[in-house]
Amino acid sequence: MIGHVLAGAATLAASAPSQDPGTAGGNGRTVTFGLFLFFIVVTLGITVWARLNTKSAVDYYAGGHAFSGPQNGIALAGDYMSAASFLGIAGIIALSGYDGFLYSIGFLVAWLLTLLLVELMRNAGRFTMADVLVYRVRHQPKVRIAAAISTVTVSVFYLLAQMVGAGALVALLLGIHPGETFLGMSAEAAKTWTIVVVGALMIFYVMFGGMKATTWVQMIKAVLLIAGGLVLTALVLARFGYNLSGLLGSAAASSGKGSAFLQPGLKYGKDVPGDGYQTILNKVDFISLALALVLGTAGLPHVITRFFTVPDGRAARTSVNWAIGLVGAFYLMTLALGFGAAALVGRKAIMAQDPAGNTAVPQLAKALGDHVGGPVGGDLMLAFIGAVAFATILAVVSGLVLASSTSLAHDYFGNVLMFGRPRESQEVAVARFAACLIGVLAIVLAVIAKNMNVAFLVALAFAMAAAANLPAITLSLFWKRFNSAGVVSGIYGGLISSLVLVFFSPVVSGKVDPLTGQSLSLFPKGVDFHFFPLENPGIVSIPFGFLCAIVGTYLGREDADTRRYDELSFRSLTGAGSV
Amino acid sequence: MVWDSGPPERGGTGRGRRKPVVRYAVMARDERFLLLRRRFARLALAVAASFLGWYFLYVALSAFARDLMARPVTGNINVALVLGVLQFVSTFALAWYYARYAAESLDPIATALREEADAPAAIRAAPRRSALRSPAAEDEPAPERRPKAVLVSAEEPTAFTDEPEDAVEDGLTVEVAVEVAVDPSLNGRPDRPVEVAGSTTTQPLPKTESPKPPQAPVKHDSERREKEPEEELAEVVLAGPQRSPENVPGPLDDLVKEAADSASTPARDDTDPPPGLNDAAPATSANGADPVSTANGADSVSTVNGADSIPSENGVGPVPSVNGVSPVPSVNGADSVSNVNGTDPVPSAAEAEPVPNETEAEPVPSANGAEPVPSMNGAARNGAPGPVPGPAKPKDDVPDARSGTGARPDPGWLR
Repeated sequence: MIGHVLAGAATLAASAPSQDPGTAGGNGRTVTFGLFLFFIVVTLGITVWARLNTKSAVDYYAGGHAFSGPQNGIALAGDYMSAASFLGIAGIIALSGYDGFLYSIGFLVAWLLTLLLVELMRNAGRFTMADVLVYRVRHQPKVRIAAAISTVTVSVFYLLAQMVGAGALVALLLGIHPGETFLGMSAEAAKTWTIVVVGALMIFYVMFGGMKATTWVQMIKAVLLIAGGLVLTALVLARFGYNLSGLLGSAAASSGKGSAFLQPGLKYGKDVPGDGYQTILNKVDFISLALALVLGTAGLPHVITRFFTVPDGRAARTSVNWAIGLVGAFYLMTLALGFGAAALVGRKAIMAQDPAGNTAVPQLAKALGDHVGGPVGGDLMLAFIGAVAFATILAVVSGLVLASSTSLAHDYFGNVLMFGRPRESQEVAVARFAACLIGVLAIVLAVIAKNMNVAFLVALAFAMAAAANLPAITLSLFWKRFNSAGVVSGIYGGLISSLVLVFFSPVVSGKVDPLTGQSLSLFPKGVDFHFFPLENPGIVSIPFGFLCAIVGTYLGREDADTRRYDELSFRSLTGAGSV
Repeated sequence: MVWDSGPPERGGTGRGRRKPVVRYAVMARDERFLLLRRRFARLALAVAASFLGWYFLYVALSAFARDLMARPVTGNINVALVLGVLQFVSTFALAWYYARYAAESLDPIATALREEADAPAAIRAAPRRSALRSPAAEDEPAPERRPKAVLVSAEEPTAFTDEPEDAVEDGLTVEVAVEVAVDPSLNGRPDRPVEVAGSTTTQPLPKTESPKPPQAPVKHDSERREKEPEEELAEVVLAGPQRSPENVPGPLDDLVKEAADSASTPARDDTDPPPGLNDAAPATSANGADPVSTANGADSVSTVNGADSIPSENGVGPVPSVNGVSPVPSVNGADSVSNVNGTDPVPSAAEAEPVPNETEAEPVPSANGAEPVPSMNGAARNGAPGPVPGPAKPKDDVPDARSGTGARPDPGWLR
């Protein structure tokens, strides 16, 4: 995922060869840059329009609940498919074969759980997850605070991963390598400036345009992404005479791994000969990852916030169905893109650009463009794909900033600090300010971490969403006995257990590449305080989150408000009184 | 946290989340809603179990059965790839199935319930029933409905009992409500009502029973009380519509709850409501004649409005009248008077008023609020519907702020 994108990009930025094989040559770079600018201008225009049409809190937080199901479905897909999906998964497929496919399947299947919950949440809530959680509890502020903390934590980690990845990726897409300069910038400077520009744009979209601007940016991005994917897929398949088996065979042959390339096991759940313990750990780690992917999506704050942009539960259901269609179609295309890159670009050329494979798709685009339209065609295709990736990054980070600022303003400021009685304009102003604050925080953190391996943050965000938010949501909706203490302990339990386990896992310290001796962890080689053997905490933290929620409920010595539970249940299923 | 003990918390609770809407809790016991919930639960469990099971089977195969996954199917396409693509296919298929099932079997019920719960009583009418029938027909034949409705109403008491255990008086009122709900069925079928009454009787019901039926139609409480429940019921059925208008002026007398509801609603416009009642009454009576389910729906709506939003005005109005007028009162009289008064007004006051008592007050009042609803049902057929339409809107707007968010004051937009 993004993790891989980041890791690869970061390493690449630091150590890539300067000879520019496939990313972008002089022309391509200029065209790419021009398309970036074009996209920026268009989206800024949309933001200004959205600002003029955003008058109330409902407009700001939820686009006035006025988007249609299909519109919101497209935006959901745009919100969800990060650069990691587009470049990362295809890159993993290109380098590790079938295992990249495992990732995308987890991402897709997760939407079924979302589909089951979306209508109930839309019916019962208004702007945020906390709106649903507080409906039936007796101690609202505690729950609001817990929900806001969880939302902001998950969002910021995810955001950090995206921003760091963006810096490296854009530098990569522009083909700026160490030693080269572009517009007078070195690679390092370009990375920093990319982070700053991406951050500034995202702040601008969210501060001024709110949900309306963000939604439109995401819709545009989704359309671009799907279009780009379709074009590349068609070109790849055409190269192989629409013979999938031929494509796979060619990919396997040029991967150098033979038929193993087409089977699971090269990357996840690796068999370690002679080390049964490590083998089992790898497999459990893989299952843990799958668990977090499948259960995390429904708890991701930026996805949840999107539930509320439609007028009613039925439209919300429609939008998730659209999202399932689009996301599924796109992940099927990544199969062709990944194997196509392996076959047409070749492992060696991809590794030369980026050891993590994130440039596989841009390189594939260039190769296909060259084949179809000569050098000019190659540059154009490359520029187009680069612009799509840029749009992808912007759309996703905007969604994340919006989700966390909404939660801070609505849940914490409006309903805790102001006891639920802020003036509307006041709360929206706070939301804008919070967006700015979180955006600046993300920029600063990302610049600091721009050369660190923060790949694990995405998987961590999914694990936290699954461990902290999912228990609270599902138990609130379906368990009559649930109460405030349960919500609060479930959220904190899931959140903290995920964080602690990851902090003491190999992704933070103690993982060393056996071949190169380089540290694969966040901390440099030599620092090793890990004791939790898995890289993905989900298999422990998710059950733990549920357990905390249940135990907290019983220890809370607090009667459930069963009448309000009945109301919630009636509302969530029928949509009565929904706003 | 700091907020738990201090006044701030109360404030937060009060304004931040949506106001309680008693009619929803009441309608959550509606037979159709139970059906809806059952169907959703079945659907959700089936979908979740199948996709999670299938996905983790696939993951487990990928992790532990690599020989199987490596087996070629055709050309370079192996089992792993086929299973992976099948995951996509199954996801699409399940999503499609879910959407279709929901549209066919859940949405019609949900829509009918929502409209019934949110629309003014006057608007409510025959169409819903017809809408309902198609979906309901699948699982359960139409005829079954009545019986089910009866059962539901019978269940109501228990359900309510859970909440308000605190106050015995509540139990009384609740029971009353129950009986009222039952009444319609009774009208239709004497047998069941008797049984129901017996079950409900466990609580203080007996005395209350007689008063309940008279509810809206009865002008003089004492007379009706004397009458037996069945007789009264019959009256309601037969004369209900006609009487309701006449009775309207005296709704308070009949039942505490009724009083609360009707009073609450009218409280704002004291003069206005009565006429409204009269006007609406005939329509309502029509509803009343219909099967139980409709009656419940109508009842709950009206009640909800009344109970939920009844501002301080309501509190004042209903309480006294209840105690004094209602048959039960004598019982309550000394014992519960304080309670009755205290509870009823408190909730209404708490909700309507700002921050203060929210947490504490809510549960109790809600219980009370819920109780009145059933009574409303009984009465509603006769006279309740009338008041409902008028008051319902204003009340909703004020407390819930859902429908007309824009125009409302600051707190409203938040919810």
